[in-house]
Amino acid sequence: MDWVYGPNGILTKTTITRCKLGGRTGDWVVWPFQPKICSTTPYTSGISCLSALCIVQGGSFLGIEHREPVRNYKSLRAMRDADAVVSAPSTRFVWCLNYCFSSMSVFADLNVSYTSDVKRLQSILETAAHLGYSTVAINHIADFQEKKKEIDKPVCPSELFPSLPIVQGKSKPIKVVTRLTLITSDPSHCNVLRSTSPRTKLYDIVAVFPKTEKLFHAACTSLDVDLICISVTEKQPFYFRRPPINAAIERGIFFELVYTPSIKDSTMRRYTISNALSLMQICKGKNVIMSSSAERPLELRGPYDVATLGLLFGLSEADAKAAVSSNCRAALLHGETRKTAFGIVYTMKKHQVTVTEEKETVPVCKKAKTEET
Amino acid sequence: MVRFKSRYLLCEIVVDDPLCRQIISQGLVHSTLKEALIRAHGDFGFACCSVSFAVKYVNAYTGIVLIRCRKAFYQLFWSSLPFITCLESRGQRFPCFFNTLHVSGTIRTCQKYLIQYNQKQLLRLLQNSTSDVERKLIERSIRSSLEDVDDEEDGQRSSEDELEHQ
Repeated sequence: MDWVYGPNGILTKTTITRCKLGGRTGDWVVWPFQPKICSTTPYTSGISCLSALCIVQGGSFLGIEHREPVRNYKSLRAMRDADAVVSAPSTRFVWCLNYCFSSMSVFADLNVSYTSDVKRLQSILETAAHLGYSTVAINHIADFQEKKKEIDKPVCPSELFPSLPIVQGKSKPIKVVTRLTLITSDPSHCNVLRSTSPRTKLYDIVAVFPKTEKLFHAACTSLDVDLICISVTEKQPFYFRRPPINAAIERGIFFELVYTPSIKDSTMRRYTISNALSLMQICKGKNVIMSSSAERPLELRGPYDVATLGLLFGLSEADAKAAVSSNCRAALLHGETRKTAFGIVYTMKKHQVTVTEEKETVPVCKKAKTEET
Repeated sequence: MVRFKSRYLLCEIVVDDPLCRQIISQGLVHSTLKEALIRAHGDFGFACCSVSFAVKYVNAYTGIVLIRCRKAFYQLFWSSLPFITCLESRGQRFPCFFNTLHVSGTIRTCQKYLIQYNQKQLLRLLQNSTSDVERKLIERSIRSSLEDVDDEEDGQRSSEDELEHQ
């Protein structure tokens, strides 16, 4: 499918009719300009429903809930029908409504250490599914100090595991994504991210672990990453300052706290809690995710337990729950925009919809249309 | 009359070594929780939580534990649970962790949830079972569990329907 841009980067009318948001051809829609919240648009009813649910502010993706009120139930339903991804070259924002709706509060663990031991990885995934995690990211670490200049290719989850375990309480198998963590202690390490490196593009999520204050500043303000790791195994080598952290929140980058070291060791626990508290002082619990970095299955913890652990890290109850669910999803979607062609266009086939769903949804679209006219 | 409110935490002990199941007992769980609490929150935290702290139910076969705690401090108590890494008895250490399944205000709702949860686990076992003998055994236990429930509650109907579909 090819996309045509009209004046001002707005998709022309032809494109929209072709993708037929209301008409359910089932493609992702790209909407590369600052969407406005409006009740009616000159195009189709589907679009107006979508625009009513704008979830983008200041050029960064925020997620669907809390930020903009969902106008009514009907628009929510219409949204579920129309999968849409919105991204723009300069301001990077996403509407990934299919995800937003279908996985409103599922849990994710965005850091499971990669080992070449497939059996162990498999058992970690099984445990994660048993605990109720719907998404797990397998983490590859690239440390440039160890003279390893090459970034590994990510494992293909479908090749590794022929059948993925079913998530507890759900009927879907667990979703496995890949993640790259760059440990940077020198500005030159960041070149991998700046240039359009083919290797980084293979990963779903890119995280960076800045060792110095300058790099932390760069990661927050300019680098093309989704997550910034916060040190948990040593005393924070620099103070968090407000401007970079505010910039990171504005850009939709998340700060990651890892809890496994704190479970293993008492000193690490002290460092983790004190570093987390000093971060919370600045970011006020916003844009924080918690993940395990588990190497063994028994290092994982249940999502609700992790959320309570968040209370010790200075998060409020709501923020702590968001840190294992909705924030993780937002980070994942932020990573999704990287895979677009030059950050502009991304099309993807929608998954097959069952017949019953089809029946349900068609009247909603019709209703929406009649209301507008 | 003032009612002292408490919270009941329904937890599952996840282990990888099946031998560990032999040593799970009320006393052991109690001491493990106490230790973890003291490690995480110190004397103050332990004193707060120990007011009506009790291990109400332990099932060594499924690794289910039911813990009671005073409502005002249950989060303090809960936040110490992730720090448990092993069960220790007579010099043997078994790595494990506690996974919270449900938190509620009464012991009754915990029981209801546990029944539902166990039924789901049975279904899952049925799906994963390989041999015919195993299959028959599981089917029999599912049937017996449904008969018990039928008399008690209407709320279990949904899971029953699921069964029939299968």
